Amino acid sequence: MNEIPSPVGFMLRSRSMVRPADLPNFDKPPVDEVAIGMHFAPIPGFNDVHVFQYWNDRKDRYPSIEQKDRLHFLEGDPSQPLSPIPATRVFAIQNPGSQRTWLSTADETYLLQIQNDAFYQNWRRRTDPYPNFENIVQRFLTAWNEYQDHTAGAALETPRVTVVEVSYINWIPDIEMSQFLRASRLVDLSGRGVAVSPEHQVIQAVYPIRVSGIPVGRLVVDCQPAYRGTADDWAAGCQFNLTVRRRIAQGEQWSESILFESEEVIVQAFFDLTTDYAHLHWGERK
Amino acid sequence: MIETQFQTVSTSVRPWYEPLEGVAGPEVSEDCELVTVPASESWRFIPVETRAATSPRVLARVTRYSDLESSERSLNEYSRWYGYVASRIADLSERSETREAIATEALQCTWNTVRTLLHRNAATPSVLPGSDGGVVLVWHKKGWDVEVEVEPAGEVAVWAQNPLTGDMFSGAVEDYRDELRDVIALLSAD
Repeated sequence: MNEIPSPVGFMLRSRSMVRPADLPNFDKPPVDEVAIGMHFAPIPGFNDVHVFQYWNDRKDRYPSIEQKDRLHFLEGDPSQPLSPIPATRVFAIQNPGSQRTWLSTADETYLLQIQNDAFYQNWRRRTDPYPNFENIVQRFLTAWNEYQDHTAGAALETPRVTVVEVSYINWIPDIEMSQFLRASRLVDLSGRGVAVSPEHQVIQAVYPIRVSGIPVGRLVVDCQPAYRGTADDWAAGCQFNLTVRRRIAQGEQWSESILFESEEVIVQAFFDLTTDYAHLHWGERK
Repeated sequence: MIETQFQTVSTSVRPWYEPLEGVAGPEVSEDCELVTVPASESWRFIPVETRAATSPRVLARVTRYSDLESSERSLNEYSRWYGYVASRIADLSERSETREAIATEALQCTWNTVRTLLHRNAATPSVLPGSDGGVVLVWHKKGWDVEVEVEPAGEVAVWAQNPLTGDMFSGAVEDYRDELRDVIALLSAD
């Protein structure tokens, strides 16, 4: 395994489908959703008809089709420094050639999201347990390769990937944020009448990712209270998101090892950010 | 990109949502702390607004990763015609034993027409190959015969007639858009 020194406190490793033995692992991880995505320059000539063709050939696997509003990627190049001025939020409802289309499996576990400048696969917890990242990647690669074959078959340009994204969304309804997130317990207040701990808090942090000192992307961590369920049957908990976005420079080829490196960043960050109590709660495998 | 079935709730950061004209949004209680959402909608919860000025008619918008990235979802995402029309457009894009494939541009124009004309619960049209490489959307329902023809070059024409009432109009869709929408709404009513 090749190791690349990284100044962010861990080693980025070139990795294949075999999960490293030293990567933290849990019997009952709280992961609720995993998304793998590619951003690319808009494909000239790509439109909804191409998405429908792609879907028509795969209706047996993805029987459900829905239309969504487009995703707008405001962050820009994840390897560039964050602007001190927040990105302007622009919600232009327009027709840029194609909308975003959702293709879902019958059990809603797997979802493909397609628009002319992005391709995502989401695994969502429904009835089955978390299938592990390697299986999710394998499925993503199949869908992505089919998508590229489809664009080639339609005489469209091959998507030139500019950003690779991996997201883990954890749903934690059974322990308090102060019990599982180290950063939530940094300070106990001592003022008269003021509670020691907050009754509500939102934790968010952005970490640059560098390889050999060169910025290549970002880890975004976000944890906040949330509700889920239906209006009549709901539960409170915390949604704990970790996302890695890696830039693919001009002339650079993305490879699946970037997905595994991103997963390692996320898993290690998840482990580092969470408490021993939570590790025990989630069944840490020693 | 996260697509969860729930919305994050934040009382310390003002969540993102804005009024959207014409969209029946969730009802917000008097104290703006609780909401109910139509059962048919995919929105299970929307962000809690702590300020009393919350509009009860809202389009829920998701903000992810604060200022880094955001996304929006509208409430019009499910429709009863979407899958059928998408499938038919894909079918028509392929050559069959009886006809040539219809050009992608004409099919995209058809899709744009459908998307702008039909609301999510609109009656599903038949989607048929037209003459000279175009596409025809057809409804025969409630006494109405309606055809919307999309020409390969992008012109879109409508012909609509109700023999029972004698109502009729025909011409470019852009000239009869309101009339056409009214008729489609009539056809779509349960």
